[in-house]
Amino acid sequence: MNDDTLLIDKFLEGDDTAFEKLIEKYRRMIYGLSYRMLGSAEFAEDVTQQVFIKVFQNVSKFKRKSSFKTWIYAITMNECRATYRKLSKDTEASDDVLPADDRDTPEETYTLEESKKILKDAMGKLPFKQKAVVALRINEELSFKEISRTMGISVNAAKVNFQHGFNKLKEAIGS
Amino acid sequence: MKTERAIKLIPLYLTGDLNHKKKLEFEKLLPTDEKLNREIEKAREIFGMISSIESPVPRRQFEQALVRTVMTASSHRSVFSFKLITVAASVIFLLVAGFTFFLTQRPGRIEQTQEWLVNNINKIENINGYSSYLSIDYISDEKLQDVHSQIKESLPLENASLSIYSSSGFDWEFYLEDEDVSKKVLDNYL
Repeated sequence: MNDDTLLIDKFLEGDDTAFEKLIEKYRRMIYGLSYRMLGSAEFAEDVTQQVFIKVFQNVSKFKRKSSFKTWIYAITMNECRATYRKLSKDTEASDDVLPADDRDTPEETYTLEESKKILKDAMGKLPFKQKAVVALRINEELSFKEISRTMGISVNAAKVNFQHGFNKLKEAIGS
Repeated sequence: MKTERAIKLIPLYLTGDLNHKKKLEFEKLLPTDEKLNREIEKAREIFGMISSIESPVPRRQFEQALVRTVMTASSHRSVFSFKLITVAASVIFLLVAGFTFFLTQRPGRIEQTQEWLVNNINKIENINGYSSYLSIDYISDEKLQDVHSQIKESLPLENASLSIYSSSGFDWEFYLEDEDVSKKVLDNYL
């Protein structure tokens, strides 16, 4: 039985401090992932809060077929997807989420910081699924099997989305 | 394996996720193919840059308030949810009764499926050429299997795989891993 499972059991037995420990353990991970997906601190905070509220209310339904981490990532992705969808319809907000990249000369030589900025902007422009798979594989270091569980897609679909997403980033940086 | 094809597979090669056969073919090219080696170096740099893009640390104020907000919101919602559950249970009972009546009274599997889907699917997204999914919220496992069988039997799915996933327990998603068939489903049903 791992730490998370123990904390969940304690929480289900009525120990609220166990849930506080889960929040402490995962809050930065959830915030970081949400930020990468949405590109905005404000939305990342909202998503983080919503994720923990959902976990609090539904932890008894957690079937433990996957790890708690995979489960909480899946909830985060669902929340990000819902926010992303809402924001995509809102022109003003989508400027925050999908920053415009007005550089059209990828052949230039960029400094490292400029390259990072271009990559970050290009990440913002990827379709949701590709962005999610790239972030989960490279930043969160999840395996494709874990990604497939988190995203509710097949392992192959995860690989294909990763490959296409990464190749688009490579093109953006002019490589 | 030709160089151009191998270049496209670099992301999976770098994460160690190429299958055994492709990995062997890939590695045969490596020692001598200059273009491929150059592309791998570039891709390595990009990997490094992506993993070094840091997300900001959440505001201290937010972190401090998070536990309290979650606990408070969750307790309030629990009370509210309890009321909701009572209402939802009645609605679900009526829906199930109606659906059973509908199934037993109306002939034609496709029409039944069509009507069921139109009434229940509330989200369609991400038709990106690889897969598309129809997400149905709050549906029981039995009902899901029922719809799954109906779709499978009533649609030309010989060339596509139809799978059902639940990523979190909240949403159920139908995956149709074939763009043409997905479009056909959408055209037919929505």
